[in-house]
Amino acid sequence: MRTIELVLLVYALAFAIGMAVAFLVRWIGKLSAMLDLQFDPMLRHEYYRLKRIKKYHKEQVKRISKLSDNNNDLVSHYYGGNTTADPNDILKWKK
Amino acid sequence: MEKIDLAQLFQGIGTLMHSDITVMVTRIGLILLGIMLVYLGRKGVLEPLVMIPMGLGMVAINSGIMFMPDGSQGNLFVDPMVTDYNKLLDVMQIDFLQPIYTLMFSNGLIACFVFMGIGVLLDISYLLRNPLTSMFLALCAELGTVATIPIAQSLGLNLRESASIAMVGGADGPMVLFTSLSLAKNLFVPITVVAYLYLGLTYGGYPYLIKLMVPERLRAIKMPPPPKQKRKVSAGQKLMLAVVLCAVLCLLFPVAAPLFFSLFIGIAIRESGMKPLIDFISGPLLYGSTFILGLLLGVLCEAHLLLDPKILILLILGIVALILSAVGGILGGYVMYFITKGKFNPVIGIAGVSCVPTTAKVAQKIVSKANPQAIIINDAIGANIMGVITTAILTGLYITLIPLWG
Repeated sequence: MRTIELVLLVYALAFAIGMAVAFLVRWIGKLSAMLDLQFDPMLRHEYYRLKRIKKYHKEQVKRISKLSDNNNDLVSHYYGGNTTADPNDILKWKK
Repeated sequence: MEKIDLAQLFQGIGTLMHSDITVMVTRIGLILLGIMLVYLGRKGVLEPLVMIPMGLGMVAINSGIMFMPDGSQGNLFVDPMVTDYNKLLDVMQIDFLQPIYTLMFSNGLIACFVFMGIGVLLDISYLLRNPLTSMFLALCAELGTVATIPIAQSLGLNLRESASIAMVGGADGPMVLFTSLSLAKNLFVPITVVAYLYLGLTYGGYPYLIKLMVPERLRAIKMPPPPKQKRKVSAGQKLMLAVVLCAVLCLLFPVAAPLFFSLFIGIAIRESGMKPLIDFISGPLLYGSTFILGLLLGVLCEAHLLLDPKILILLILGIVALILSAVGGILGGYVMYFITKGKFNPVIGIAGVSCVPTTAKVAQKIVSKANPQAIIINDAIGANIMGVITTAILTGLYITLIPLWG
């Protein structure tokens, strides 16, 4: 009985660690692109510019949402849909 | 003229005649097996790099047994059972392979060298393409590594011995060597020999299992090409992956840290582009270590050492572990097939068994026969490399958990 417990524990741990490693591998792809970015002044400037724009847009969406709780049309009219300013595009391009 | 004792003159034959019938038959059987390994290695049925030195080693050790000054039988190759420090120093000056055995084999150094070589040869960009699927398949293909333990215990092995023989299911020679050295030193010679013998047989045996479990219609499924933006993985990304994974896995399993370090230093050297080191590790170091490994495995197949009543059990369990792992991998492939609604070739699952790159090559060979236009090798190599990592994780878990488990 204790052997079965051990086997189940080992397999469960292996699955947990293995999947964590797989997520890490996926995340490292993005992280290394970020690091590459830090050494390219032009790209870095563009990345943070877009990031600021995105943050500004998000804040505007929040602000208008508060002003017009029941008026979703207004929100989507002004700030909904694609802002097109996605800093992650640069990371994707770097990849 | 004094009468000449022929048994003393030709001691190889003399010891054969003076042994009991079991030892004699085993010695002759091992000599014949050695000849067969050389033949099959030369023919390309088994891996020649390991099998030719191993086969010849088996022939030489079982032929070259002599009478020692104390009247017992022995050889001038190696004595793996010597533990006394003073005796070991004496033996190291007499047995010509003893220094290599003591300083390279029994401490796992040779396994680490082979792992460095594997690391230098691995292109982990395949792994970065689809890490979650590759890892899932590799974990499914570890079924034999865990499921063999209760079977081994029911056949009378203790927990440490069971875990060591179950590692054969991981299909990774250096890992089996490392685990058995850490957990079951008394059985590490037969376990390692069984592991390497069976690993040589996977190339011949797995195609039949695939054909049995996967119908031709499914074997012919073409895999979609990887998305364009993800096609190129930079050396920097791969280097970072090696560094981070090495740190994380060493933190989790310090007992298996030498193996993790060896694998990832190989990858790091490859991705750093240090050509002189790449040439050295992938050439002289890897081939030299493989040759010495084969040679030592051969001379360890001495009849007296292998005449353990547990050897038959180990032979059965080794094959059970490898079959269960392959079945697990293919079942994982089927799970992916159903998740992707028929767009995944289930044969890729067998590549999760981490016999790099044999199982990936076997998978591609079988798929090509069913559909010459189906290319699965990239996905198969990804699962294969993840298989090395999952086997290393399981090695770490066993070496850490089993001594605590009691």
